[in-house]
Amino acid sequence: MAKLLIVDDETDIREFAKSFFKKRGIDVTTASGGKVALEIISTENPDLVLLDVRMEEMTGVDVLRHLRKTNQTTRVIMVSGVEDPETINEAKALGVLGYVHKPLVLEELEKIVLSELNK
Amino acid sequence: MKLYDHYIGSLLLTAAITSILAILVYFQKGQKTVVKITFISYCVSLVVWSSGQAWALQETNPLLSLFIVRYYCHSGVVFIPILFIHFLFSLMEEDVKRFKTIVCLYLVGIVFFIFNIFTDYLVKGVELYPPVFQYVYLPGKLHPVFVLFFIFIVVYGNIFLFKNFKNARGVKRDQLKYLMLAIFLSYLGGTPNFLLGYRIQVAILMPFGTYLLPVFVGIITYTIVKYRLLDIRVAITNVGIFFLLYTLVLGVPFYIFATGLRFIALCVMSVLATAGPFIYFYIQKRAEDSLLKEQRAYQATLRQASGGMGRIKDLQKLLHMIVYVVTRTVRLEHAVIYIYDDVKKIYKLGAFKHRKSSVIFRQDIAESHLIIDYLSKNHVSIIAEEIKQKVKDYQDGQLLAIEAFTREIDASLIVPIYIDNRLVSFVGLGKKESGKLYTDDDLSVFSILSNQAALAIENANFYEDMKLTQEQLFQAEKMATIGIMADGLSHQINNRFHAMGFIAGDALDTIHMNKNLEMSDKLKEIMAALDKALLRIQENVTQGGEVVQGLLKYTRKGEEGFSPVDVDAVVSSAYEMAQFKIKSYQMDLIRDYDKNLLPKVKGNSSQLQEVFFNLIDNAYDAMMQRKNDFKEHEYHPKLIIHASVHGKIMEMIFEDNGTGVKEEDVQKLFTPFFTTKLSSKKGTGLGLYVIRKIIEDNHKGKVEFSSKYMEGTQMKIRLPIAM
Repeated sequence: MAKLLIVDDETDIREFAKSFFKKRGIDVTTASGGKVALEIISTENPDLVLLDVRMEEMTGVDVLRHLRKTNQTTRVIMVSGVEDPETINEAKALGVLGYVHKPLVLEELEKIVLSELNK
Repeated sequence: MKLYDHYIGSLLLTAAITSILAILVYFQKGQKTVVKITFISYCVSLVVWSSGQAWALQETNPLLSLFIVRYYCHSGVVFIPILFIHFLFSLMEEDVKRFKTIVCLYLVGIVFFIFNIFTDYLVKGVELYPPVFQYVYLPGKLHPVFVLFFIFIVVYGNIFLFKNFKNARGVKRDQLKYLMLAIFLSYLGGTPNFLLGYRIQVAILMPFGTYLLPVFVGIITYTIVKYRLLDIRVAITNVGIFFLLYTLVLGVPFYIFATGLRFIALCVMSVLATAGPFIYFYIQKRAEDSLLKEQRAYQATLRQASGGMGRIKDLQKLLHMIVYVVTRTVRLEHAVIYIYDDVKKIYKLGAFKHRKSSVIFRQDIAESHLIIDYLSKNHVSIIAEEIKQKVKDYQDGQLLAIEAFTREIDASLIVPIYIDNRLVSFVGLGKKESGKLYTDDDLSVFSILSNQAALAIENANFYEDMKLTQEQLFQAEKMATIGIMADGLSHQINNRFHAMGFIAGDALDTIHMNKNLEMSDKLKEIMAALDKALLRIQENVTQGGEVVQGLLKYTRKGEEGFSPVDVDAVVSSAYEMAQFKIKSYQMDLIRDYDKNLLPKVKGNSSQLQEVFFNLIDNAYDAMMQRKNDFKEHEYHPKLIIHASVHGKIMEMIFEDNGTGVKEEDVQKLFTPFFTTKLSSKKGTGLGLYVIRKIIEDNHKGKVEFSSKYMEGTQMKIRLPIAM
């Protein structure tokens, strides 16, 4: 069973995304912040991480930076509502699969996620 | 010196001064007008008479004395009255109208001349007339007729002037008044010369009266050469005081001398001669003070007012104050001030004030107007009377234009105001209500006022610039704040949209997954309705996200510097930005170019985006206005964006079919804070101003505008192509 980690500080986003992907037979874990996310990644080693960029305690890019110190392989897709060329470039440099913009329709996200998990 | 030596002296003085003045007028630049020619001829006749008379009276040889007095002296005398009246006619511009009279008078003069040369009817002979003179002429039979003719002409001339005086107004009236006085005085001094022929002595009148002649000639010359009788009252008073005083200073001792009390005469003379200048200056000052009393009072007020001007920061208030103070204190019929407009490059009506007149002042004067050229080059006040006279002499186009302008605004005086030698403003002053003339004193006060006004205008301009800069800074700061706010806000809004999208998406997913379940038709119908509603929510989420993106792009500080920019992409993002206001079905956006063939331009994409956004927004507003206000059938708003390459330049045209701009508003379009948009949707009025700044100042491009009311508007933008 493929493992998906959804990192977002918005409860509604985590909850409904989880519900959606669970129906597709995916093992979904959620994290409300960067620290929790890093812990989960190290213990559960998910196949794919959907990482929100703007979060309260740690930004998505911060999480990515920490992660890449020890882990080069975990696949990450960044999700952001605000386009900022610098952030996008840094994320790309840190090795992310993609950078998607909020707001996103679930069906589209599904396409992206499924195509990654099926690789 | 004998008493009658003064007579000889005054004759010689008359001859000398009159010759000099005639030469002065002759060599003055400009056309030889009839006024000048008749004046010079008149001078010649005076010189011939005065020099001839002086010579003949002292000649010891009776034959030579007769020869001089008859053939030389009287050849001048016979023409004096005729040339005098001819001069008056031409001065009053009636010489053409009275051509026949003039010809008749010349014929009379010639008749007298012939009688004088060929008969002894005018001058019978000479006889010894000791101890006063050597030989004095004896009048012939015709001589009394000539004297009567002479007096008749002088009286006629004065009546003629008096008639003109009665009909004249203002400046001309005063001129005529003093001219009449001058003529009266001069003939009071001149005519008694005839008494000598009849051996009648009037102690003071004859020997000293002739001194008045050069005074008269001097005044006339002054009016012809200087083009102005502005301060004639003061001039006459001064000259009058001088002559009266010195008649007294020299006359009294001579009289005492003649009675034999030589020592006393000498003492009196030395005392009077020493005191003379002091008495002269004292009387002169008192006379001027009393003549100009009113004027001095308002001059003091004006000086005070001009000191206070510097404190006024509002330009419009300042201009109002200038015209108000001037009209009130000087009691003018009206005053008007024009001020240079840096943006429109014209001199526009700044302020005006009427007290008695109702002149309508034009709104603006082109920079190319000849009066502007004149004031810019000459740095002097324009005196309407002076220009009027000069026009007659020179027939110069520029002077004609200036005269026409002074007439149009009914200004007696135009006072220019300069900052750094640049003409920034000028004040037109109407007539004084009293009908009195402007004096040189006035001119100097106005020039002080003009300097003070220049400083005050500069101050006010500075404050206004500062105000505008501050406003712009404030605007920029506000935009920056909005930018930061928008950044945080859009994050929040996007998260909400995102969550909403997920909620809708998940619910939709649940419906889809369960659509094969057994359901009643009613339930199926409900599911279908829910499905449709959730889809609509998703669509709205997507659209909302786009709106937020557009807003964010607009407020985010653009990257500094210039780079190759794809204008089509910028058009797209600008259009996207406009989506928060424009619904795509409301207007057609047609891109009349092949985006794959279009080169990139050298520019700043966020600035260009702002420009394009503004242009699309303006076009939209104009088209909506047309649609809503005129309700034409089959009208559909259409914005066509053309783009073409001309060498190193890309030309873009934003062409709409909106209301267009009325002709009277076209000039003002690029002025900051000017807006034609209806008050309900009033813009800031900064749009086109900002566009021009961005395109012309930042991008070194060009913005052109053409519009026809009710047809539409074309905004043409030229940008350099990136190399």
